[in-house]
Amino acid sequence: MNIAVCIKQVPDTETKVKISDDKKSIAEGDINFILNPYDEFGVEEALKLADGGEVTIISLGPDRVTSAIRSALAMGAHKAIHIKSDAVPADPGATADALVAVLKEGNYDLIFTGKQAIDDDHTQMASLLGEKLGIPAVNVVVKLEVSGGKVRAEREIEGAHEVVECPTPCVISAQRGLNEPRYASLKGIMAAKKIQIEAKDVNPGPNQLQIVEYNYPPQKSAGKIVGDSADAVPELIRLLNEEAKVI
Amino acid sequence: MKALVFAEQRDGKIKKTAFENVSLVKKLGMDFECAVIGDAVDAIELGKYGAAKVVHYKSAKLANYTPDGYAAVLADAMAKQGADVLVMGATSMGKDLGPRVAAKLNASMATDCTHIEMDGGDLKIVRPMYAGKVLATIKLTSAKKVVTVRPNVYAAEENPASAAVEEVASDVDFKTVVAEIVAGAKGKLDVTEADIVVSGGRGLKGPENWHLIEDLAAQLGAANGASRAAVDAGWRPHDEQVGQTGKTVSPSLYVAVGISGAIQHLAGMSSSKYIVAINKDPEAPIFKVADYGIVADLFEVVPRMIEELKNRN
Amino acid sequence: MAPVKPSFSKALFSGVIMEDLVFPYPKMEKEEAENVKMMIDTFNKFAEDNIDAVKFDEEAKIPEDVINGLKELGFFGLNTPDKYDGFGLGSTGFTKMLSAVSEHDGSTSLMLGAHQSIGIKALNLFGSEEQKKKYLPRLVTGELVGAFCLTEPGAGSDAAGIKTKAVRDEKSGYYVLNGTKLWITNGGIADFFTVFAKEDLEIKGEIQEKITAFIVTTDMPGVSKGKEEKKMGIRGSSTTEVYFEDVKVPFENIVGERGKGFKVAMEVLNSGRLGLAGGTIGAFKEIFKTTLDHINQRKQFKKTLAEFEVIKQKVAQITIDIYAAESMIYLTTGLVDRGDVDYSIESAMCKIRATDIAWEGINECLQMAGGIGFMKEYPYERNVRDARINKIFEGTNEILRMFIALSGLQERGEYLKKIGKALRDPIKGFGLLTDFAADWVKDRIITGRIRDVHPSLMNAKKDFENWAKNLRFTVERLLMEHSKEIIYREMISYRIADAAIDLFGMIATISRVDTRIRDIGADKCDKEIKICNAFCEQAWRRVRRNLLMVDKNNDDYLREIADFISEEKQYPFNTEQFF
Repeated sequence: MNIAVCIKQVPDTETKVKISDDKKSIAEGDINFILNPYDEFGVEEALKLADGGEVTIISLGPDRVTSAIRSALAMGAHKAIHIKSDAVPADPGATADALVAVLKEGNYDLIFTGKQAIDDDHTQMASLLGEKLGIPAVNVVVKLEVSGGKVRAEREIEGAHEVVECPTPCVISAQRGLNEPRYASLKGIMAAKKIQIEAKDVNPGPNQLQIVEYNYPPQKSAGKIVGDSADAVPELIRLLNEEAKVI
Repeated sequence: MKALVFAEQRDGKIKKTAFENVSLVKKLGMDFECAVIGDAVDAIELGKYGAAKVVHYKSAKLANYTPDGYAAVLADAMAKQGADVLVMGATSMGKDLGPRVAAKLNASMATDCTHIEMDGGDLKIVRPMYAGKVLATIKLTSAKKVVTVRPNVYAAEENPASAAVEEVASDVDFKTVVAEIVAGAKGKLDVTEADIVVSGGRGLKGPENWHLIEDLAAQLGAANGASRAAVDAGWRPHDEQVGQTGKTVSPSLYVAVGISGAIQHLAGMSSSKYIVAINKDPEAPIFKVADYGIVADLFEVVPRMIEELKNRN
Repeated sequence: MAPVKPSFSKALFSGVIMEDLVFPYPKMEKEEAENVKMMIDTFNKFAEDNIDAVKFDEEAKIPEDVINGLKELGFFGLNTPDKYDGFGLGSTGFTKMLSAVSEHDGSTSLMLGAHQSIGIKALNLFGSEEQKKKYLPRLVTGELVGAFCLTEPGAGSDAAGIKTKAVRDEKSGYYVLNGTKLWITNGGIADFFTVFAKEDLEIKGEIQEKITAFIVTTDMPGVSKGKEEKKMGIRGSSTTEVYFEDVKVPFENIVGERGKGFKVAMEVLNSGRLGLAGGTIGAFKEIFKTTLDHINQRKQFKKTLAEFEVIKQKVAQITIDIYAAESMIYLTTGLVDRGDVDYSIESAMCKIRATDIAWEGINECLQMAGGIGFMKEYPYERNVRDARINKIFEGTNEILRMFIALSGLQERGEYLKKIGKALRDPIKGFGLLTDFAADWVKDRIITGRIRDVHPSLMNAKKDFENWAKNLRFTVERLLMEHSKEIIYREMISYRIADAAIDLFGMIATISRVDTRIRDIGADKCDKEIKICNAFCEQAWRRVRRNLLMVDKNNDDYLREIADFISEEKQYPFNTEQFF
């Protein structure tokens, strides 16, 4: 099977996000960028399913995203396409258009994304790609079986799993639990260095999402310490009942 | 600007987020209609919250969710009902379906909105990014728009109107079918839907002590959550994980038991309305966001809470 | 003889500043830097799931599956060339790796360090092609784990005093090895030992005992190991005795030349010390981070600890110390990676400075944590325990200071010998001595200078030049005054070494910040400029004090008191007299 994995480079989860002075962008200064954690599940699943086929990594963004691409290659992916762009558009629809243009050039049986990127949290890409390519998309997948051109995927919904069936080709967005991503071995890292990343210039679609401003969430001020032993429990319950009115 | 509120149903019952969204668009003073997709659905319920017009796209084939089927119906509904903005809950269905409809309509979409206001005939939308570390205020500049609203953020306010439900027979082709729904643990409430969440962390010391979390949750009618440390240690399934690489929750009450409050956990729960922290380390960052804290051994505090709540109930 | 390699610090003792060795600050090749970043990412991921420093410490063991995981990922082959299936990291990359590993766990870092920095380093540096082909591919995968066997019950700092004996049998082609090695890191898990033993060699018709290095593997009959030592810190790492009883070692297992084993050991340790220095700082930075979280949360008197000036002073000092130490370390690893420089003094300086400031600083972190710092539940006390050994092994910081001072003095002494025999015979050489004095006076005006640095660093630069010059004068005066006796004036040598370490710290920090400014502009280096200036100010004052105390000191009193007390064998002054 030939499989594409669309990945994104994102700030790691420990990052203290800083908003730039004009409030229109996120300051990139001290950010440590990583491969989006959910995308790793996609890469791992692709590698497991490829079975002699090729796994192609596709990513859009500035030059720095090649390091995320390298991380995916180091896990064992075979090819990579870097869609060059000074920045990732604010509108995921615009990014999807560029990815679709590249995906159409390949002949992929499966396309993976992460269930969401942990930076902008749009959670749209798999469905956008599916619709724009005219193929099914299954989101938040925790279990996947593919055989004979058919996909049976278990996806997480509220308090249950939905078992979805569709034909290939299709798009799968990977959720934690789908697999345990392998660590990139040092051998893999060195081998990945030898793979030529194909650079492409593709115009993203129109940006229809305008950033008015970024703000920090209102700081929660530290509340009340009700007590320092189990004896404080009745008072806590009273507060929750009478003051907060939540129980 | 006219809104179409998509009222999500499962097993014929309209979900609470739909009522919340009806209340929201009413509050914004928008002209709106509702759309329901399914077979036998209790669509009239929407009237309780002030929906005057509901179109029920009816088909036995569409009783269960199918992304391509529902998307096709909804895209048509937007045209048929003459709406500019599609409003739906940021549920697993809404997040799956929204982008598909958006793509069909050349619309842009805002996911998981926590605040929406009218700004000179336009929608000004606030949505969290970086799991809540940043709030983005955005505008959608496309002609048609899709927004999904985070559950539990807006209250569902009863505001009875007599809802006119128009049934339209629907027939669409789709490739994706839901073969079955595998329920999680019996009657298990999902952290993203629950009004109260009780989460445990490393302080529990091991999975064998998790009954404390479960019992406390049961007393409160809450869902069980877990910190990343507890999930990584294999004590709890990943679908309970709250945080940046897990689920983002905004319940009215979040009880953090034995959770120190790493930045990535705080990102997933600090928008909860009330937070209770139980931890014996007074320096634990969780106390910085907690409304009420008890600095003591959870193994003493939690049993006492269970007992007190039992007596109350 | 191989050409003498230039040494920045040895030249410094002679008042010569070899600025091309330290400017601009060395940078890793982009390619290698990318590799290292990815390797660190992989390690961090692995560590998050597998490295549990608390457990390793408690159980005094790194679990086998964790070790195997590290082997499979390639972490046993970091600095072995790719020709032998390794990953070819240079000194900078390797040191950064160890630093990253130490952020998670000191014991794991030590295990990897003992294998690669010293265990198999002799093979990598001095081994024959056959030896490398035979062993390295298996060492890279961790199929074989390496250890370095120098220390013996009777020979610690005095490494030349080892007793392990290798008896050569020309007929059989084997040596027979007998002896005991003590406190061998990785002893319990190693299969491949670099062993230093004495053999009888005929030199100029005389039989002399000389040290030779051997490869000994556990499959050779007669190799056995003692039980795991119980240690104060780095408890997860393995430390045992290793015994050699009539072990037959083939001639082909000699590493380097016969009788040149001491040089092999010293070269290995020279490079090993840099990994140790880097690892030490990695652990220090991590506990500092934990401390910063604490002081920003903990409130007393309605203020966070971070708002108190006494805490600010500690935080700033730790920051300055780490910055300067890392500047020294990665300047030196850059020198190693150039390949044409003698870095023996600098690596000793890095080891001393890194382990001293880490010991001080980690204790300060514990202090800032207050009572919490003392509790086992928190990582402070473990970090203090782990950091303690660093000042002791791979050369105690005291021995290394003697090494630095005497190497520098010797260098200047050789030069002085050339211009006259003043040192050996001050009367006969009187004329030359006046010439030399004239030269000295002249040099007071024409001084060694370094290139122009950014204006914001000019004071630091001038202080460096000024005190470098003073070091040279002091050294010359000492040599004339004490001649060879200087080797017994350890209190003075100690001060000379400390002065030299501070001077190297100054130039390393100036070079790093100046290079940063050239790369990204001064306005973006505001904090680094302040750190550099603060460090250099502290450093030159220490240098001045140390050099002043070469002449003005109480050393005579101290010696007398110490001799008296040692004789008494206890502290003899009672306070009862006043009761």
